[in-house]
Amino acid sequence: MSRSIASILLVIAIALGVWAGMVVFLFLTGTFGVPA
Amino acid sequence: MGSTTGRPPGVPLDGLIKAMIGYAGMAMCLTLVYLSMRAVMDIGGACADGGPYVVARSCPQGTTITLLGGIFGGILFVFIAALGGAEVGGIWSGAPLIGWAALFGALGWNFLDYGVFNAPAETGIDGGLAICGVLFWIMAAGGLVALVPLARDAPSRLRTSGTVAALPGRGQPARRPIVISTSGSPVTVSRDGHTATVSTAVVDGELPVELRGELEQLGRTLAQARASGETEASRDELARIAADFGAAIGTAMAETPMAAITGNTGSSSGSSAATVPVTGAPPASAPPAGAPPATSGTQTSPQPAFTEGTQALLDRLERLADMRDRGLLGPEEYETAKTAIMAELEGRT
Repeated sequence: MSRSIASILLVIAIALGVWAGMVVFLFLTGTFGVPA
Repeated sequence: MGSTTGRPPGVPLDGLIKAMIGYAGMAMCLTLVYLSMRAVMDIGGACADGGPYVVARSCPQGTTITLLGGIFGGILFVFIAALGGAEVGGIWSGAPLIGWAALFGALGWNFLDYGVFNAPAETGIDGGLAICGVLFWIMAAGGLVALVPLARDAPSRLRTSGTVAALPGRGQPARRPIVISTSGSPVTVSRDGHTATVSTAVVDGELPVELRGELEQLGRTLAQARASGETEASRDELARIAADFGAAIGTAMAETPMAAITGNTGSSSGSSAATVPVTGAPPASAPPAGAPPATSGTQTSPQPAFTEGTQALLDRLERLADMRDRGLLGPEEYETAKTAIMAELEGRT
């Protein structure tokens, strides 16, 4: 697999990680699904 | 300038998976820390839970576990990302530096956001938060600066730099041999404290990252030697080492068993060690840096009708000719490697 494809996959993984962090935070702080 | 070796450097799948898990975890933990810090700053910047004291301001629900989980989880995932990133190479091998810059950049932004950009109108800019924010951003910038050499060391530069092709001091024998020991696959190449492992990436048509890195470093050293006007003897010594590595790579490429392609492990099992005769003498007809790759009589145009294994052998022949043309392989090393590959080709037909 080429380095460029690997880099794209890693950027996608980082984006998913950020999204997962937001979901986990909202879930643990009890604000998941609650409108601000 | 110079020729290309065809495809870009390969990234092992297991290393990529480790890097993806590590970097995704890093991002997740960093997000947890970032959001937790904002939640605490929303209530004034300080809070407490538990302990024998009267708590003036409790922490927002869940922020204790998100903050601790983010910190310790982040350390764990940075470790995983560093392991995987080392196999991906380039800037991705700097996971701790990336994590450092992202952490201090994100937290610095929080300080500046709450203390400067969105400071309460009644209190104005908070000098303490502003100083913290600036300091954090300076620390983040330090991590980014440290990443620059990693980005510049991307292995793809080897294909275009051509520095290795301009080796001086041809025609002189090496003082020490290169020892290549094989135990099926991978193949380990060692000389004068330099050791590199040729994995099945070679069989897949790529130069391994380790050897590519060694060659890149060698090219830079030679370029510096030329620029700084070092003595002819020093350049000759560097050229001998360069030729040795070129020969080792060529031999390793020829000896790496094709079983890795087909999944058959029977043909190259067993351990052996061979001392490769090294002349360190690239051909006198090697083109200068910047010259287009010479057409070799042994090169074979890839045909789409070939099987995967045959195509890999043909690709290997092309790379060998390319390395010979660039002066990385001597005539003897080239012929030895070519003969081995041709024998495999004949065996396949």
